Amino acid sequence: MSAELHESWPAEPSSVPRARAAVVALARSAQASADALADVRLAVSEAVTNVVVHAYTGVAAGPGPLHVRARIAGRKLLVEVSDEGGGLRPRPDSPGIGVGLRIMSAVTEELRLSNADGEPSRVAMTFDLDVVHAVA
Amino acid sequence: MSAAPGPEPAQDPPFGVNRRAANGTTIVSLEGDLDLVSAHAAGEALTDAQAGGTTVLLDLSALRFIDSSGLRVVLEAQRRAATGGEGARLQVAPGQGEVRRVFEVSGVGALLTVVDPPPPETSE
Repeated sequence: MSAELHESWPAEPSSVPRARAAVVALARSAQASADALADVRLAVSEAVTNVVVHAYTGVAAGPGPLHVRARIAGRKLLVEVSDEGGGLRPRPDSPGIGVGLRIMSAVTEELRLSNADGEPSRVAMTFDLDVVHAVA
Repeated sequence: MSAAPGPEPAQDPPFGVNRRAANGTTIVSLEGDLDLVSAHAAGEALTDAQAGGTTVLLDLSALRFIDSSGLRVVLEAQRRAATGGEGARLQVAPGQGEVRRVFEVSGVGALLTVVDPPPPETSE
């Protein structure tokens, strides 16, 4: 049995909680740990927010689509957030998205980014569904 | 096609702001989710509270969720406090759990004056 999500929303602020909730619901359906749910909620929010804020700036036609694909593979959750933008955007090392990137790095098991100028961006994240955070 | 369960309600619980004064401090309490949707409202509430020039305690102990959009609001308030004179300090009570963890993993908590949450409001 497999569970997966393949959804698109307009790249606007109200889509941030919708996308976040949809991926969290998928993780919850796979009995993810409470800590894993927190990580998924946070990292998806960061990736989706980045699309909403940056992907279609300067595009005359207004916000384009935001795509989210997610699937369960064993005890992992694989999530891909992408857009169809092509405008200038902050690079991953720019100060503007430094905090969001640091957060995504901290709460994912694996994180891959591709967002060269002039190309649609794609963020691929892997989560361990059984993760338990060390007590600080 | 999707085999996933339907999404949760987009705003559950709703974002809310409560403001009160206690012992010369203005306490701004946030609840719900502080993200791109609610960041503007949170920023306005903080700007307004800080306009009085008193110490502002930002109480996040009832907040369910925060991401970098919310952290940006807190950092902007911190910047205003730093340039607002002697009485305009900002204190942040991140509470426990998920919200506190976001302050820790982002490194933002280290930039703030972190305090315990205020005691519950007592009846007059």
